[in-house]
Amino acid sequence: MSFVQPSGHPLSQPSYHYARLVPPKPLTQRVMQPILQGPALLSQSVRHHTANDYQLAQLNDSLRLGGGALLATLATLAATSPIIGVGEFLGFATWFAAMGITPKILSALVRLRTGVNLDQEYLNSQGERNPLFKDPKYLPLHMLSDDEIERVARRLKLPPTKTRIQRREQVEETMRRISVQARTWWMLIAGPATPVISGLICDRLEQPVKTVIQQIRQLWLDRAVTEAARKNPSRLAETLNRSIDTAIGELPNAKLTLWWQSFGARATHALGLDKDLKPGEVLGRQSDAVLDRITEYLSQLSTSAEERQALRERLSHFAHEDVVLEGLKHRVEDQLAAVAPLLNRQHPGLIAEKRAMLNQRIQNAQSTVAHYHRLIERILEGPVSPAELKGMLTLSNVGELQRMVQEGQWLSARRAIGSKALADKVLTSMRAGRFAEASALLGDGPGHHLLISLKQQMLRRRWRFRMLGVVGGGLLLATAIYTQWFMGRVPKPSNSPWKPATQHNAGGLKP
Amino acid sequence: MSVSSTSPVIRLNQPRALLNELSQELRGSALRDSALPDQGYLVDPITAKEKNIHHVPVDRILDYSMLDHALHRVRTIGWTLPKAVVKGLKGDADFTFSDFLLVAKIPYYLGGLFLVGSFLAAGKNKVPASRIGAGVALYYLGVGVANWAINSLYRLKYGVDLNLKYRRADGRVENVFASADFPRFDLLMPEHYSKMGRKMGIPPYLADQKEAIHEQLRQIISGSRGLKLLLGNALAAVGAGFIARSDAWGAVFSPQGVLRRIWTQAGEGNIWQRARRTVTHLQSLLELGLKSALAPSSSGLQKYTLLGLLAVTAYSAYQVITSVHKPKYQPSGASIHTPLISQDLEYDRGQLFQQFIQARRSAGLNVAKMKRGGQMR
Repeated sequence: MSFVQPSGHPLSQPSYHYARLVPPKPLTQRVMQPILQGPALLSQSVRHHTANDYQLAQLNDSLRLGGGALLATLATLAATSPIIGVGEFLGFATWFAAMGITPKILSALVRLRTGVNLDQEYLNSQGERNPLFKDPKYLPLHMLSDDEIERVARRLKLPPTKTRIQRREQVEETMRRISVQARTWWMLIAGPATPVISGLICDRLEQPVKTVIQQIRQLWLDRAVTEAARKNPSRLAETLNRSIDTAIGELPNAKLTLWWQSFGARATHALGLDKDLKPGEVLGRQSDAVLDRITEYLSQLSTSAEERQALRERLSHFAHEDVVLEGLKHRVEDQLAAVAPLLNRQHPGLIAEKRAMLNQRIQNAQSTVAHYHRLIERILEGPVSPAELKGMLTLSNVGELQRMVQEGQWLSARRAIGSKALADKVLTSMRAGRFAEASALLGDGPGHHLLISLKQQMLRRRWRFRMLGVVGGGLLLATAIYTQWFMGRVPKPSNSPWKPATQHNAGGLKP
Repeated sequence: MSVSSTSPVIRLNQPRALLNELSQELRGSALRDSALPDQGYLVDPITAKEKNIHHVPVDRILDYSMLDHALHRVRTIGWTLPKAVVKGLKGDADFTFSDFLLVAKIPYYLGGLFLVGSFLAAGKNKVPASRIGAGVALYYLGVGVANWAINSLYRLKYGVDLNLKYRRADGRVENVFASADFPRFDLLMPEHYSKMGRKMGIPPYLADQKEAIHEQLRQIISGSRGLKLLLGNALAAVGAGFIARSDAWGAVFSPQGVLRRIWTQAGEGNIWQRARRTVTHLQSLLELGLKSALAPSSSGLQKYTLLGLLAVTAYSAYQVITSVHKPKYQPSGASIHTPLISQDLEYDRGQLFQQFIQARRSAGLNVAKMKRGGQMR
C-alpha cells in the first residue's frame, strides 16, 4: 500500500497510516454499514463501556435508523389496512432519503459557484472516516493538492499573491469560511427541507407504489389459492375470499377502486374539464351548482368541426375501458371455475355468491362506461341543449324509476335509462324485486362520477396543497442566492474600538 | 503562593477590577477582552484557579442549580444559538465544532414542526395532523425521558452529574463529560471526587483514588451515551409508533375535541383546573394506547415489541447499576493484611482492590460501613 511508510525508514513505524483523502463510499455501503455494525458498536458501548466519540457517533446513526424502522413497523401494524401501512414505510424511507439529498443539493450548488467540494472525506491515522470540513478549527486542508487550491483560487477570482505558501493560506482561509457558511446554511434549511422533499417524493410515489403493492398482493393471493387447492382444501374458502375481495373491491384500495379513480381522472382530462374549471368553482360549492357548471361547459364544447375532431381524438384514448373490465372479470371467473369443484362440496353456494357479486360490480362499472360512451357520442353528433345534457349526466336512481313505473310512466322511465336494451333489463329485474341487481345494471351517472373525481383533482390543485412545492422552491432559490452572493465573501474589517482587529475577527484576507 | 503587597492579586483592589469582571460577565466573552492592552493579567491561570481569582479567564466548573440550568437553556435558545447562527452565516473564524453541534439542534426540532405543519396544510381533516403531532411530541418526549432517566440513575447511584457544566475561558458554557475521548477531568474539584468516590466505593485512602475514579468515569461516559441512544430510540419509536396511532388523538385535538372545550368554555374552572384536566386527558390517552397494545386482541408482534421495550429498559437500568463494580477478578488467597501502598496498586489496582474487599468480606467485616471509612479508622 502506498500510504504505508516504507519499513526501512529509520523513523518509521511500519503500521502507521498517514491521514489521507478517500473517495466517497458507495451508496450501498453508506446504507448497509450502520445496519451491519450497529450491534457490535452497541455492545462495545453498552456492555464494555469502551466506545470512543467516533464510534458513538456511528452508533447514533445506527440506532436512529433502527428506531425509524421500528417506528415504521409499529405504525404499519397499527394501520387498518396493510396498504395504508405501506405509506408509513414509504414515509420513513423518503425521510431518510431527503436527509441525505439536502446536503448533496447544497454542496452541488456551492461547488458550482466556488469550486469547493464539501463532500470530501478523509481517513485519519486511526482509520476513522470523517468529512474534511467537519471541524472548522481543525481542517486538514494540507491534503488538498496545489492544483485544486489553484483551481478554487481561479474560480473565486482571488487576488494574486507573491508566494505559493501565501496562495495556499489565502485559499484555505476562504475554504474554511465557505465550509462554515455552507454547513450553517445546511442546518438552517434541513428542518423545512427534509419534510418538504420527503412529502414531494411521497406525493409522486404514493399511487404507483400502492398499485404495485396491490398487484403483488394479488399475485401472492392467486398463488395461495392454487396452493390451497392443491394442498390444504380446508383453507381454500378463506383464501379465495381474500383473493376475490382484493381483486374486485372489498378493501378500500382494491383493484376496481383503483380503476374507478384512474378512469375518473382520464374522463375529466379527455373532456378537458380539469383545465377549464378552477378549484374555486368546484370546492366548497353545492353539487348542483358544480353540475350546472359542467353542463354549461359541455354544451359549449361542440361548436366547430375542428374542435369536435380534437375532442374525438382525445376521447378515443379511453374507448377500451370495456376490455379492461372484461379482462378483470375473466381472471376472477377463471379462478372461480378452477376451484369450484373443490369448494362446492364444503361451501355450497359460496361460488355462486361470489360470482353474483363480481357480476354486479363489473356490470355497474360497464354501465357507467356505457353512459359515458352515450354522452360522448351525443356531444360529438352536434349541438346539445343544456337540459338534455343535464338529463344524461344525472341519471335517475332506482327509487325514482320505481315511482315512475308505479305511476305508469313507462316511456319516461325508458327515456331516463337511455338505452332500450338496458331499460328492458333494469325494468325486468325491478319487477322481480331484485333492486340491487337493477341498481348495478343502471350504473352511476357520469355527472356524479365526474363530480367526485373533479373534487379529488381540485383538492390537489389547491394553493395549500401546493405549499410543499412552493416552500421547497423557495428554499432552493434562497440557497442559490446565498451561495451566489454571500458565500466566501469577506466582511469589511470593523473600526470599532470595542472590537479591535485581531488575527481572527478582522476577517481581512491579506493579499 | 503567598500573597504579599507586591503580589498581582492586589490589583483586585483597584477600582476598575470589579467593573472589568462585571463587563466580562455581561459580554460573556473574556477572551475578547484579553486582547485589550489595558487588561494585563498578572496572575497565571493555574494560580488563579487555585486561589479562585475570578477576574482571570480560566475554564471553571459551574455549580448550576435546577433554576440555573433552566436559565442557561433560555440563554442558549435566545442568545447563544442566534449568535452562533450569525457567526456561521458570516463564516466567522470564531465558529467552532461545538457551535455547529448547537446549530444542528435547529433541524432536529424544526423538522418535527414542519412535518406537522405540512399535514396541517394538507386539508380540513385534522386527524392525521394531530396524530402526527402526537407522534412527534412523543418522539421528543421519549428521547428526553431516556436522557433524564439515565442521567438521574448515574447521579443517584454514583454521584456522577453527567450534565455538569463548565465555563471556558472564552465564555462558552459546555459539558464537562461531553466527550468520551477528552473529558475535562482536570476541572473536577475535591468535593466531586469525595462524593463520587464514596458512592462508587473507591475510598480516599487508595493510592490513586483520582485515577481510579477517572477510569470509571471514562466507562460511564461511553456507556451512558450508548444507553441514552438505545433507550431513547426505543422509547421514541414505541411511543410514536403505537400510542400516537390511536384514533383518540383526533377526538382530543379536533375543533370539536375535548381540549378546545376545556380551554374555551366558561364553566370549566380556573386555569389550574383546566391544566389539570388537560393532563388527565392526555394521561388517559397514553394509558389507552398501552392497554390497547397489550390487549389480547392486539397482534403478537405489538405485544412482543412492548415486552422488548421493557427488556431494553430493564437491561439499561441493569447496565447502569452494574457499570462500576464488575466482579471481573477472583480473589486469590489475599489476606486482610494486603498492603495498600501505591507501588502495589500501580500494578493492578482493580484486582488488588477487589481482593481487598473479598478479604474483608471473608473476615466478616462490614464492607458497606468500611467503604464510608467506619471500620478503617
